[in-house]
Amino acid sequence: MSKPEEELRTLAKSLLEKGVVETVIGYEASESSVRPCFASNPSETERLVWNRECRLNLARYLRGFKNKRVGIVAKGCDGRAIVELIKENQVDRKDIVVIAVECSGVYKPVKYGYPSPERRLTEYCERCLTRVSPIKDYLVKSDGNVSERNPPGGDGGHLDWMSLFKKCLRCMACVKSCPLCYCTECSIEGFKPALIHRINAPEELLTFHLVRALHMAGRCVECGACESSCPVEIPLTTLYHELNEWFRENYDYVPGMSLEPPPPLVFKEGEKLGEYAFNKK
Amino acid sequence: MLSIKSENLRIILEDLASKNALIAPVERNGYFEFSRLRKAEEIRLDYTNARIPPKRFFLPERQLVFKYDPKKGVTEEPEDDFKAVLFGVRPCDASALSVLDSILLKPPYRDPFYENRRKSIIVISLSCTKPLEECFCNVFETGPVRGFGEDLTLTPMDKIFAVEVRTPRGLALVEEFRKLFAEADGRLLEEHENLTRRLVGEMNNKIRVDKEKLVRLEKEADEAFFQGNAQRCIECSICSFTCPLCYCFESEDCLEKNSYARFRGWDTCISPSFTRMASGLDPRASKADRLLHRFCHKLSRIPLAFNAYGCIGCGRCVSLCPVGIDIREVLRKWG
Repeated sequence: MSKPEEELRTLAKSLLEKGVVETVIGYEASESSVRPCFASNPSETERLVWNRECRLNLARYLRGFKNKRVGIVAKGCDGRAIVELIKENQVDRKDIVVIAVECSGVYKPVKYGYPSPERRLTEYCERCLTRVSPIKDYLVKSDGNVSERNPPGGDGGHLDWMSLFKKCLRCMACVKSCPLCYCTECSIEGFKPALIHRINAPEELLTFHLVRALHMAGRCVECGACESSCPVEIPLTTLYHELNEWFRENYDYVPGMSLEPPPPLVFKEGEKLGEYAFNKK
Repeated sequence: MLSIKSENLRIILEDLASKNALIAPVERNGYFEFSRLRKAEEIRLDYTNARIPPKRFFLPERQLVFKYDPKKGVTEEPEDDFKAVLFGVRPCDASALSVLDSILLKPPYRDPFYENRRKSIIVISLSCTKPLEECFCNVFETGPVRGFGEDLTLTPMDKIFAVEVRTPRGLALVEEFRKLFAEADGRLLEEHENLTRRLVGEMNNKIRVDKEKLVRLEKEADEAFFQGNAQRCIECSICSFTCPLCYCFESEDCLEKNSYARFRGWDTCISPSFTRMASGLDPRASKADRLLHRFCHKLSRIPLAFNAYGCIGCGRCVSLCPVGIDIREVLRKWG
């Protein structure tokens, strides 16, 4: 067991024992990798692990714990997702105890039928903006074993997006694993009137992916949960990163980095749409 | 048993490819998949297994059922000619086809679309010599050397392939290229037997299942197990869509210029909308119910009704599930 892992377990255990939280959401070992773990009993914290396979963004589970005190193990990007969820009024900061873990990147997953000989960091981890969550109640430091990041690769301009989209099965794993896809009526899934048909038609895949991309623009925290869940390995984070870059240039906004300022496309009652955004530049 | 030299197999594959009648494994975008090929040289004989199972050729993601024209009424669209040889299917996936046969081709409710595709595609399986870590075909005896849904079984030996003819259709294909095949000699038979024994022994999964026990899964399933997994489950469709045996579909009517067309396509029982009725009633309202249903359907109801397991141990759902829900755990606990 690594030192951060030990620290994490002790911390989670004491939070549960003292009744600070009802549940701690973390990662546990599965037979082939890691998977989400929901510890509500102090003894269950023994299962918690922290390593480079912890890809899934646990913030996507937070909305299921409304009005309950919950602890969450958060990487830098998970923390950014929590920040966005707070800004978008989806979760209450008071209910969440953020156990930030210093992250040095996660490995690209090894998926069915294609064992890769060497493990390497995901591309989106190489673009990482923060290794520690912007909001935190506790911090578990890494054991100093921080690997070098390569400079970020090129943008998505060289990719043949149409042929990548054509592989899509519309399994919805990108939507369902995303911490910020929380619409109860999803415009690209069973919405009436239908924007796109329920049954996957190749000519509608562009619509599907562009609608999702536009909804992620300026909101995506680039945690890569969608990309690492995708069974056909579409590099979605690269696409959303491009849109985020546009937002950064035009609105000076980077999602999830701090609780201020408000997201550019959000407006309060009495305020005109985009007042903040248009004033900015 | 017959045998065929690698170079002779190439000749057959090239001939099929030139007639646009070859579907075979290739590497695309960093994983293996089946694709219709014009040139046989693209084939990857060293492939592990296809990410998306070959069921997509028999039960396509989207399929036209009929068209309806306000003036002409219902018009049946003849299915396009899909004649092909599906080469290199792993024995587990071939076995899935045989299970699908017993479900979808059982009178009186035969699936005409599936039947049509099944008739027009010849399946040649290729034994697995390097099973993946997630594989557990040995549990259901659907591999690694020999499955039970293919027309021909090919086993790669040293520079040659052992060929086992499994159906009259397979025999007809062999007859077409008879000169390229040879009768297997005693030595090859012995080597084949040794290889089979070695490969079965090497499978790293030591799960044993008992059909009588699994049938009781529905009654004896412990709630904590399914609740725990339900809490994790994100309700995507990866497990169903990548399962070589999941055959549930939904249908949808689409408006085209002046007519309607009804399509059918893949559906998943994990989705909350799968059993939700118009009245709002949902007999499987919770995620735990739906997960339990999925496992029960595969491991106890299909065996009861069709005398075959609804899982063939390919390991796709185990490997691809983003949250690590593992059917092997169910097998260990209740098998």
